[in-house]
Amino acid sequence: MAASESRVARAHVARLEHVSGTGSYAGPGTLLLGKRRYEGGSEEPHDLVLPGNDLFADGTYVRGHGTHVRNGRLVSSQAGTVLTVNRLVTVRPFRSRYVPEVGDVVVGRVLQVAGKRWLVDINAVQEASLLLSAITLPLGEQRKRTYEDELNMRAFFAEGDPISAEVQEIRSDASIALHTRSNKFGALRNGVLLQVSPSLIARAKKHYVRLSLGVSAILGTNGYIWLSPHDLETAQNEDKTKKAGSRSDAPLSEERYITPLSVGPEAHLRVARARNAILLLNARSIPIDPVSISLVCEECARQGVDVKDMTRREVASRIADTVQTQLSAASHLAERPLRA
Amino acid sequence: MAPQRTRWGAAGAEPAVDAAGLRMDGRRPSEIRVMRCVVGEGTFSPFGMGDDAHGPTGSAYVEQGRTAVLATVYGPRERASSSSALPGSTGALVNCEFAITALNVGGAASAGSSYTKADRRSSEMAASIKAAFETVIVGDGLQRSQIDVFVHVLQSDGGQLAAAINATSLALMNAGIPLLDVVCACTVGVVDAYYLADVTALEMRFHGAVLTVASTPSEHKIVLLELESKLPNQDTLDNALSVAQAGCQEVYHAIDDAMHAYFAAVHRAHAPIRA
Repeated sequence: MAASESRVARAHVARLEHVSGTGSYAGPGTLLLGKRRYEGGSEEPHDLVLPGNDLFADGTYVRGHGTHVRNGRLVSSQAGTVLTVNRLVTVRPFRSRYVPEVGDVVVGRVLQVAGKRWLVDINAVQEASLLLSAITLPLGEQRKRTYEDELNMRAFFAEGDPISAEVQEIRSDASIALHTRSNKFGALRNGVLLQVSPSLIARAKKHYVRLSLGVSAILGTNGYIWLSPHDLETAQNEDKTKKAGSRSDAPLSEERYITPLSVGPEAHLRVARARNAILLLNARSIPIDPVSISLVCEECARQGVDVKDMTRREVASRIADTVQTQLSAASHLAERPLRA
Repeated sequence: MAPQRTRWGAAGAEPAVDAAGLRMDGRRPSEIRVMRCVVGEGTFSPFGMGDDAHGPTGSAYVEQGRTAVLATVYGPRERASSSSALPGSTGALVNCEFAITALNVGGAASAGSSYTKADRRSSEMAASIKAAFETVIVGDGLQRSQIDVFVHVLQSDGGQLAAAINATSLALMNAGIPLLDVVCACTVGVVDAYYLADVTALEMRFHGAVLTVASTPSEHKIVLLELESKLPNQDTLDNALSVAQAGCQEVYHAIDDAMHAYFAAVHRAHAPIRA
């Protein structure tokens, strides 16, 4: 290099190096590359492919997600790991937006109230739509949706409301339809919504889980997670069942605002602990499930880490290391069957 | 005894390639500058992805010598209603914004031609980047969506467009956007009889022709070719193209290394589960 770098730019580079060089979280990969340094690393995962890399030369394989065919050869179109199930070859990108599948439990946020439907952000390529005809009416009423309902849509879900729903259909133009036709889906109140990488949440039997520390969680397949103190939830459900028995002519608006329950400081702390635990797992890209979340919480309790300290980098890094070791020791992370 | 080197000295003070066959910064003519890549900065910050703060879906920072570029990718996301779909278009809409940051120093800015995202040269750069990537982004399943690419040149020392394309490639891969192939870009300066790969701002002062080539490494398909002045004949172009293609291969090695390093960092203990 001929002359010295400018001070400003050097400061910027130094900051980047600092951030990525601490090793406290598994974030960006950084590498100083000389021209002839490319001799191939030693510890890299060998099944990593980049877009354009040949996967298989012969045509006996079935093209899956993340691949395309070029001159009769199967070629990757994602930077990710190769996964073969029998003859189906897919390339899974390390991170991407949520790719919905029918039946997925998702948590989302209402963006817009449109004619006869809501537009919901579920971290997918497109906004999902929730039709007015695809929701449960209050008290589980079974009837046609009227023009009056249409005018009253904000009484069910208004802009900004977090909701839980299920993916009902993926149409040919890749648009996503949701439904909330079950008691467990619908508007979410008295809790926290957080976002993690969708690749960290596996499709499981249960997405509504009760965490050991007295927090209910909805682990949306789309990477959105809803947390609320579970005693509160029980109270709400009781409230719902009680109301189901009563008369049904209460105005809808009342239904929407009926549950501003007070949450004590202790419950706040429990939710905050779960939140920080999940974000810690996300930062280290450790799969998020009830087991890993409670491991983090236990580890924090064991080390006497305060809720607010869980966000500190050195603390987070220490805890994540321990949890990671525990998880691999418990072979919790051992090769899982990856078949859907 | 090496001649005294002037930093922004007038062209002609010393030759583009000296008697030993080395350029002003000590490289051989076909050698590209040292490349440093940081993938995923800002997308994986420890607590940055919390609640409602939407960080970029993918990002990459690329240094090629003293040219430094940051590219961030948002999306694919719902197409803004104002940008109506072109009839017959199936894939994602690519938006690109190119800006040279105010803190930028070096070549272009110090030459008195500082430019921001609003002016003509920046929108030309943005259009080039957009054109290069629209050919490789796979449209399946991305209907009615758009991909926003923001490119910031933090420091410029020649080859901004090439560095911007390389950074965008990395950022798109980081965002998990399906691509037919990686796009790698490299500039070649034709000065006298020399073909100088990856020219610096200083070498541009020789007023040679500068060719920017973006190509796909596995098929050597050219997706973008920009030439800012005349070349004497077809042979010169052919020679310059082959030097550029070789430079693109080198760039690809750097990109490949950077992605492996990124994967090694995030992959450490586990494979992500996605049943």
